[in-house]
Amino acid sequence: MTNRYDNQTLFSYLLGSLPDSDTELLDEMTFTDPDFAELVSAAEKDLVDFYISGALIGDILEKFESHYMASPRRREKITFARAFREFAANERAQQNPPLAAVPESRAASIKEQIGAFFSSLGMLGGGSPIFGFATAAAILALVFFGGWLLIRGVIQKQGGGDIVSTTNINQNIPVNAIVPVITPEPTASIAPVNDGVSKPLPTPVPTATPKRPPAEQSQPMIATFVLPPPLRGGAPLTQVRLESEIQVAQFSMGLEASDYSSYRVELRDASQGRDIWHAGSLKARGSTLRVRVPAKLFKEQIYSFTVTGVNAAGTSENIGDYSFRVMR
Amino acid sequence: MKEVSAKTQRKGDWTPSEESFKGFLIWLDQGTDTEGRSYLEMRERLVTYFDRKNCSSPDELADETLNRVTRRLEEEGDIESEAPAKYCYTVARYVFLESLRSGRDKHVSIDEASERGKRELAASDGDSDREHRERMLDCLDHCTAKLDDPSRDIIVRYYHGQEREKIDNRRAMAESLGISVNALSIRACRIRDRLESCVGNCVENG
Repeated sequence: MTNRYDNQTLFSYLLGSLPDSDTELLDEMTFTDPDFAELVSAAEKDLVDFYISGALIGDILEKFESHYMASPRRREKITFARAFREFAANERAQQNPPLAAVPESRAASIKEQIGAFFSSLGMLGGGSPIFGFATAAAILALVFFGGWLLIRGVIQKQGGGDIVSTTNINQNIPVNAIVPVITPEPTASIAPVNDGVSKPLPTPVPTATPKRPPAEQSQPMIATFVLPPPLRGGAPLTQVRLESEIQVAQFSMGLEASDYSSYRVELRDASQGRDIWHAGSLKARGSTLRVRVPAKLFKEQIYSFTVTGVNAAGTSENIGDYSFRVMR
Repeated sequence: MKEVSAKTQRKGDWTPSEESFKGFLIWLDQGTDTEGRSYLEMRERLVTYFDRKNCSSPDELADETLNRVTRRLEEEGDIESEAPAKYCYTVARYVFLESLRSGRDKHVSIDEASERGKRELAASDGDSDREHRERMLDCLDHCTAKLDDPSRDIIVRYYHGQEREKIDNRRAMAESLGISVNALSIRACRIRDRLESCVGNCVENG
């Protein structure tokens, strides 16, 4: 029973947005199912962390401020979360152990979770056994999807190209749900980036007190590559050399037609024939589409970007594949 | 519900005797001596329940619920119709509905409370509350020092980073610990709860 609830549902529960009958069911489960109670508690921490990091906007933010913040006890949780965030950043800055690299399998896993997220939306509309009747499920699906779009909006405002939900309804993972994947901003060929516009890779939160030294602001090294439009009849494979110090690879893809309202890009590992990364809702700049991909996803082999154009009506069309060989 | 409500009505200012309270603890433990942990957990669940309902006195209503269950146990000798957790919820729900009807618990006006909350939190961002925040950070130092090394490592690393880096970091942590991300999340959540509780006491008691 517990693992049928994803973070979106739990957020709605915590924000008082579920129908009464569902709320009562979940209320009861917080007493009778200790595992579920812990999931709700973890989701609540995620929600508060989203709030203090500024990731909530629109209706969700309004609901958070009007409902969640109405309780002094819950406001104290926010105060603690702020202090804890600062404390954790300071501790991390002092310890500063190296972070583990991210293997490709994890990127693939994230993509699978995106699928799970969309599957969960579909399931809500299709009459989840949790709620018992289709109308409520449809309303919930709209609410959750609307919330997702709102959060997606703020990510895009911050320069992100897409979001990834790590909520896995099957594995019941109550971890933070939103991740900007790329930042399609122009930059120099190879340079540390700190232009105030581009969104750097996440760095530890800087410290605020003298006795807790600030975390170093890392400036990701970005290498830019130009991929020409795919040609019929074949063309030499573009070579991309990624030096070890490069953290982000930016690709500028030439478009033959740039009249779509947005674009979707998937990065495919040609040797294994599977997608390892994606970005959506991208806008073309003139006849160029830019994406940024963490360099650590690449090893020495052939990859290809599959670019899909999405028109205003929401229908999509495959534009082409941009293949290239990575040299390291 | 009807049977429960009839048997769990308020009876003046009834307070449990030591004997009836012991009987309640034994019933709650269901054969395992938890040395009062079950009671504390149940009380916390009740307070959280009433707080999520935006009741202005969640602690008071939680105690009222526990008193009613204790009294029922004293009167009946045992409650076999439902498991303790389920029965406590049933009584809590009745207490909540009763408080709505009677107006005994002044439920928080959402608009008023959220405005007040926003003002308070805004104030907590200002210099005037800097001292409180510093105190909280000192307490975090103090409370984290009391954690065992693995817990301390988990809590610091789990919340490191932002967005994608954070998720990648958690996956790497889970792999290195040989547990699922879900299990890691629950573990980190428990440690954070302990810290929050410790910090609350530390800030309050100095």
